[in-house]
Amino acid sequence: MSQPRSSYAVGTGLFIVLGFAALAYLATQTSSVANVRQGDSYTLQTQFTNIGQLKERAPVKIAGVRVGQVQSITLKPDHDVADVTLSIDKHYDHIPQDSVATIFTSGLLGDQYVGIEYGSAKQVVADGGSLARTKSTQPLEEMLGKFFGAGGVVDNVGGSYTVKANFTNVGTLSAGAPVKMAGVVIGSVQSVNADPVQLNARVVLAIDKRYDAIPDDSAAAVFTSGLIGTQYVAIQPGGSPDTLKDGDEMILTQSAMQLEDLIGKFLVNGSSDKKPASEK
Amino acid sequence: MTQPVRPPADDGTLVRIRGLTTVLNGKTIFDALDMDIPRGKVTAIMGPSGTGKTTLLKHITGQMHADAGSIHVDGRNVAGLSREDLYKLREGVGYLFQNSALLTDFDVFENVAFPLRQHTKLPEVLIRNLVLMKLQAVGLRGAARLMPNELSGGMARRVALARAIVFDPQLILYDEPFVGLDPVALNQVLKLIRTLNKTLGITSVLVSHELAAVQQIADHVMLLSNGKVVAQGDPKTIADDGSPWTRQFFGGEADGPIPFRYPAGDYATELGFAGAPK
Amino acid sequence: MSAREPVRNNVVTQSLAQIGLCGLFLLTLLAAIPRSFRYLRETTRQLWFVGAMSLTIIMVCGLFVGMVLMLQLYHVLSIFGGTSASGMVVALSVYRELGPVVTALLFAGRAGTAITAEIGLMRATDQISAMEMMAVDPIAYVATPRFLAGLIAMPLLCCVFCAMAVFGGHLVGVTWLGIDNGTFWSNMTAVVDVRTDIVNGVLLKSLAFGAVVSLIAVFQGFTTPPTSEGVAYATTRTVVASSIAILALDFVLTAFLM
Repeated sequence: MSQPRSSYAVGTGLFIVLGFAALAYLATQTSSVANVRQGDSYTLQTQFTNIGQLKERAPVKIAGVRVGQVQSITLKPDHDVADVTLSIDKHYDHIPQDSVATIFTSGLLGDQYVGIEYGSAKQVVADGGSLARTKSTQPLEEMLGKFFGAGGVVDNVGGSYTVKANFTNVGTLSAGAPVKMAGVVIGSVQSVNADPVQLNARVVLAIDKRYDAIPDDSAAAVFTSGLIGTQYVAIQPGGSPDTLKDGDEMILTQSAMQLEDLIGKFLVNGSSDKKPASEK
Repeated sequence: MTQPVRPPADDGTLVRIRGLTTVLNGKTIFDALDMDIPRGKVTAIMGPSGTGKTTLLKHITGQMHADAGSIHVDGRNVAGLSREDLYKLREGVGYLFQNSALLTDFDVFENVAFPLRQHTKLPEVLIRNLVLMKLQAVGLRGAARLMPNELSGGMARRVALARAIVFDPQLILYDEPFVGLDPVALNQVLKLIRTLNKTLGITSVLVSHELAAVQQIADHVMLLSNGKVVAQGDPKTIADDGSPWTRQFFGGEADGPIPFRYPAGDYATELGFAGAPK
Repeated sequence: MSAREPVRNNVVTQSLAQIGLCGLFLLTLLAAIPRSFRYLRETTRQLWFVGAMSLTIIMVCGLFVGMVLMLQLYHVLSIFGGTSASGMVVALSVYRELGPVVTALLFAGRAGTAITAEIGLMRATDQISAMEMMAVDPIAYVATPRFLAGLIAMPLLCCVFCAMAVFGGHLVGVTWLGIDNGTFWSNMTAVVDVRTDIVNGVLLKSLAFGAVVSLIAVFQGFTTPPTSEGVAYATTRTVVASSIAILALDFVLTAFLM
């Protein structure tokens, strides 16, 4: 009887080995095993104003190469920014302190990941250190805008000051749209509200603190990037010696041109009065 | 290993049944049954089919529990035993099933070795020798490597017997050991039962209605009917004790105290003639 | 109409009673696990019967499921020019749904029925009673080893099924339809996640299905009337009840694990 008994045991053993081999094959050859690799890594703290669809364990990439993953995403009750902890492979321990962490989307509709673009600083961030400069996730409209050259928005959390500007028509301008000077993004639109008294649009611009020498007679204009791109605020510098301070108001403004108006002007004599101002 | 033959004494009762009452599906199987099975003897329990002879064996081994009454096997109350104690008791009780009940997964050798492997940690050599001894006792040592489906009915029953005695039990219960055997096989089984009883002193309880076979080997016969022992004694005397039960059973009369008809309502009523106009 | 009422009610109460008995039986099985450790050899033997003996059917079916899935996907995705993603879709659909579910259905048909029929016949031929008489607990010796064997075998079989399906998909997609080998693997590895797809999908689901199928099979074997008719009926019921339980449980598990 010992003969058939041991053949059962051998056969069963073979079966178990085959099963586990198949499992190992599935786990290592057909999946992103790196997702569970938690070995030699160190953590970096970052903050984002908007993480969009970013999830824990999403990849962290440098130059498109996976170097780690998002360890945790938390929101402190008294903060309006999300704390994102990145876990990065020990191999890549030479990330300059002024590197920018950006939330990217793989493809048009793909999953989101954190990309780190190297800065030029000599000092590197240590374990537990933080990357101060981050770019948050952008809504699809802004992404489309980017395709047409509007450029990204630097958030620079806490590093901006606000100025106000009144427009008679902002078109489809919405909060989060870039503010540019000379085509370069220097801030973003913080809010767009209708003013109940003056009956026009009150726009609050958040401008990077680095750009603190903008003359107070500068003009703000609502432009459209390309033919169908999103709209942004362009600042055309004036010549006054005084500069814009936090909370100042910009006097000179130029409202958005409506595409319909433009086309109408070309095609028909006179303009149509249909203004889709409340489109957004 | 061998149980010494105990002389029949006052405490010579191995299984003592008192007031056993069982109702199955509304039918009373046992009605305050009292029974004593003497130690070291061959006791035959006889009776017409359906009187619960097999049920009685299941009661003795604790596979079924009675509604009332008590069963003491070797002084222990079967109904009151825990699972472990019951299993310990069963190790000392052999049971021969009507259809042998060999494990179809194993060959003859492993079937006989099964209880040894489950309950002991004996070395393989010892198991082998024990099993071969038991197989030799039933004359099937040469069939050790056959599978149960290769055995005839008589051979299977002898293998089952070898398995039942592998622990040298003090009590063996035979459930219809002669059913479906040809005369040669029947005599072989008969001879085995007698030999086991005489040489090992194993108390044997036979459930059967093969009158001729029982008369050859039984020391004590009990006739069971309507849930009671209606007659008992040694096979010679019981046949001529003159009671209507024994006369019917041993005479093989169709009707008598053992009813021919299953209890039923009025015949005419059931056929629908009762209310018919005359 | 009113005459039907008690009948339907009866079916409902009967089914509920079956589920209740099955649950109690599970408790008995689990309680017998410590006692069945003595019969480890029996568990191994059952693992051979329910697991290793099911390998052929599982491997062949896995291969064909992967092949046909790839064929279908290729033609649909070629409309959108997305054929390169077909390997990834094969892997995901097999890991998350088809692998565990089809393996469990095959397992119910191949091993579940065998368990039910075997136990039913053991009861019919008094083998279970004989074990009790030999002081061997049939729950610990017969039921629990088969239950445990099913529990262990299912995840392993499911892994083999999935691996064969990916292999079949590769065979059709890369060898036959000409998808680039590198694209096939890179798209797959980029999306398949170890925790959500392999642990939650393949392993957890198949573990749950293995428990359910072998529980139903053992339960039906032990509760069927010990006659040839009863065994035949119980075998059918094992397949029907297992299939319903697998698909219903699949929905619940998917809802919880996603």
